[in-house]
Amino acid sequence: MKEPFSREGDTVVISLAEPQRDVTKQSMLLVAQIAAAGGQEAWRLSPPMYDDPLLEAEEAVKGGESGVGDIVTRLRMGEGMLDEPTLSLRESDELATLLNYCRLVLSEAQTSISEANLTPKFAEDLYNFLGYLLSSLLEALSSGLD
Amino acid sequence: MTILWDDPVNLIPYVIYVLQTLFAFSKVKATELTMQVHRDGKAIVAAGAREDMENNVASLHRYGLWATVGRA
Repeated sequence: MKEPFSREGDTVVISLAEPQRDVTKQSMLLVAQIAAAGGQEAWRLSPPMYDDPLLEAEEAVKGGESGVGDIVTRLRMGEGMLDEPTLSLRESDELATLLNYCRLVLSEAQTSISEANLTPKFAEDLYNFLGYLLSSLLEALSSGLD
Repeated sequence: MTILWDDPVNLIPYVIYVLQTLFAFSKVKATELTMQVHRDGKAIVAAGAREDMENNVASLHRYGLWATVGRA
């Protein structure tokens, strides 16, 4: 079976079958939807900055941005990358990050009730599938590192 | 210091890749730190001025890793 991602020089070739591509795109949009709605599954996208509760409270008072809005935008734009036959290494790095965001949210969705009509079983299946894709993409990306 | 915490979601190869990419660690060093996180629950991946540590943590968060700024 052909790997979903493979390295060719400074590019990564995407060899996803059409259904795999569709599922991946839908997953990214679904996770963007959950995060945009402030769903409890999205808490891992915005972890605390400090291990000291006092410093963390100070940060909260300052009202620092959580960054979730930026992630939602990136997920919505990122699904378009899957239509490309090849990606640059920078784009591939971004795709790996987005797939990881999806896994972070889907891991929570396996044990909680979603606002996006996502059943725990379906979340688990997506989580495992995206783990497979991410592993393949990391192998392609890491082949250029020592 | 910059503390990287273990979590059950991030794949080990992903953590190694991020440490190599962000900190320019060798594969050996990135792997050692990742396995320390996996084994001990956390590892110190950098030490220095608070502002630098905050930047490190923000970068690790951008990759979806769980990191915090800790007291030296």
